[in-house]
Amino acid sequence: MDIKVLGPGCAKCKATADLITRVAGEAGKTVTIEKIEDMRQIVSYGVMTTPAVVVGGKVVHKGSVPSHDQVLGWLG
Amino acid sequence: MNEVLKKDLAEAREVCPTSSQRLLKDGALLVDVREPHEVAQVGYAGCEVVNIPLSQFEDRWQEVPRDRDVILACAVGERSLKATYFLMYQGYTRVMNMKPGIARWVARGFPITGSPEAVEASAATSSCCGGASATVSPSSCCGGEPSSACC
Repeated sequence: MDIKVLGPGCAKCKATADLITRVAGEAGKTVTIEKIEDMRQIVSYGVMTTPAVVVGGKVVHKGSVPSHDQVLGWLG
Repeated sequence: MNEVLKKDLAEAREVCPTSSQRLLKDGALLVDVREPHEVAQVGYAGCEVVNIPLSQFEDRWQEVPRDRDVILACAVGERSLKATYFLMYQGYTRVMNMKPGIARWVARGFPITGSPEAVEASAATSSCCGGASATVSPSSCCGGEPSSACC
């Protein structure tokens, strides 16, 4: 599963990527996380508030570090 | 959350304050995306200017006209670049980013409201996160508490 974390490299962006990695590990899911830090690329998803998360080409979350359960839900 | 379409955005057009003066005289609109407390200290003047803070931009971007040239501006040109790309995402074609922002504007002697001494303070809050002050908006790029700001 490909997941993109959109954000300028801030602490919350890193925390979001780390959380997804950890939850995926716990759930036994294989994920590929791509960090998108370029502003133009971030806004190309229509996102102004970060961190944001893109799963399957869809923005599923923006503006904060997601919760453990949210991440679990995305991993299906 | 709504499905969001990814769009390929061209590189934003950038203009300096001096070039902006000509465009503004020819009828362009200046949109200042700094926060109200920054605008209260020192603001752009001598042209038609509206303030839509970046923290409110997602809710208010439709106030920006599509049928005229629009120059987005902030303190140094970072926040306004984000707003410029957001408008481009929304299909605007006549938008451009002023870079740098208010400090160069003041240095060139262009009209302002407020005090030029406030420029330094305004520039200090000009990063995408608004610096380390407690005024970081939940809707800024970093959201939430300043301790976790991106910069």
